[in-house]
Amino acid sequence: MFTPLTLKNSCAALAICVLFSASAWAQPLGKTAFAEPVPVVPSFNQWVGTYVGNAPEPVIDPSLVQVVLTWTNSEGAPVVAYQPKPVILGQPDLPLVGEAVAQAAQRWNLGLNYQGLHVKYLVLDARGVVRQLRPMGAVLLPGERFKLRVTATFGAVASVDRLTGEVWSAQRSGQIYPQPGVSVQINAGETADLPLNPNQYFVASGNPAERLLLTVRHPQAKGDMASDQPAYRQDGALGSNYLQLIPSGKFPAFEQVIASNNALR
Amino acid sequence: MKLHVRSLVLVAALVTAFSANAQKGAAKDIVLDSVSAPLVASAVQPAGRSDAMVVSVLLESADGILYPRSTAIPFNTGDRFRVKILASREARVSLYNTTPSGVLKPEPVWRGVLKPGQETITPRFVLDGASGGGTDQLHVVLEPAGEPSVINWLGTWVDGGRTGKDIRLDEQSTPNATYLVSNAGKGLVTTIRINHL
Repeated sequence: MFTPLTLKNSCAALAICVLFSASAWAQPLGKTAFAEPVPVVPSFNQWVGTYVGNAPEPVIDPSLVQVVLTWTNSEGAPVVAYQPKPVILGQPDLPLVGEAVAQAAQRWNLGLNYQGLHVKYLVLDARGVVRQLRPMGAVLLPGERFKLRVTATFGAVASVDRLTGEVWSAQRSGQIYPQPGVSVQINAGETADLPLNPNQYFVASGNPAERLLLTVRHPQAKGDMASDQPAYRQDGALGSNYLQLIPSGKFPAFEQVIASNNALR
Repeated sequence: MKLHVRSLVLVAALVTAFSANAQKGAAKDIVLDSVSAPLVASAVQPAGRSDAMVVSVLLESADGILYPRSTAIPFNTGDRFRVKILASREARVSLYNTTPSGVLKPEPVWRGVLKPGQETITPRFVLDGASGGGTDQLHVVLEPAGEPSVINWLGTWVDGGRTGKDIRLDEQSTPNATYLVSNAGKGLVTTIRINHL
């Protein structure tokens, strides 16, 4: 006989379900001694919200804006064939595991299997005042002035190189910021605006054969010590989040090609 | 009573729809559990665990960004792409080409080694369709353990061996990836198609 569901037997059924659920949870917890893996994207988004959300806008004195870093001031540097490190638009499949995984959103550490990076464009007006924050997937128009705001989960060094040549056969033709042989050092969880000098900025080139390459890596991520895993990028309204899987014994190394609208045509 | 019969029919329909959806999602869930297992330190790898593999075709844009697609989506002449593979066990992986005229080339166009818990990405490929119109096929092969001739095994698979009694394959494609799972150690194959107009 079919019995219609009433509030009374609904409650009983619910209670039974809760008991079954509780015992299902209790059993594995009682037998396992390792931290459960967690989805990496929500944890990193929380971390970004904590560490990036409160970064102040750079203060620029319009009367001092005089130094401009363009695409073209690396003349004479050796030219090396270059294929960008993979940056995949989307989310990784593997979960976040490792040391203190439950606290990752508050305090990311090098014992986790992922490291992360947040980058955005600070687009400036003619006086050098920030007028817009953009994710890295947004278009830069030729002539636009901008800075790069960078926050990493790890202690990092950052630099900007120049890329030249046709899109599918690019060449790396020297570091344009900071001066060759020097990098900008950024502590874990701290935000840096590149160029560091408040009165400097980059200008998007109108030349379709010229692009920039932002590199943010752990100081030990050189050669075979750099993670060979792809970076996953997610673009938000005001910035981009990157995550990279770090195999044991390797260190994070992120790269992002920066092109003006002209270079993508 | 009539109302009760209607309710029963409705409940049965809902249960059927739910279980169909659950089955459809099963391959992806099983594969993700399998490829994640090596990352969890104390997860015991059961003997005879299934072979599992996630394959994404990464369509490359002019600004160097890679857009993941499943192998079920056809590609076109001149598309630049890489292939990303994630597997449940250490294995050799290779890409073989069947030309538009239907010839399976014996030498792989690329070969690499998969490490559990890590992703492997091929170099950039572009197929120009120089051999004429039709469809190029790229077979992404998780090589079976202990197989002396991968090309013979692949030939059997491409000819319909996947329906053989010793190979059972579950496959599910989402817009971004293809998820495959089969008997332990038996290997896996999924095929990318590039149309030349």
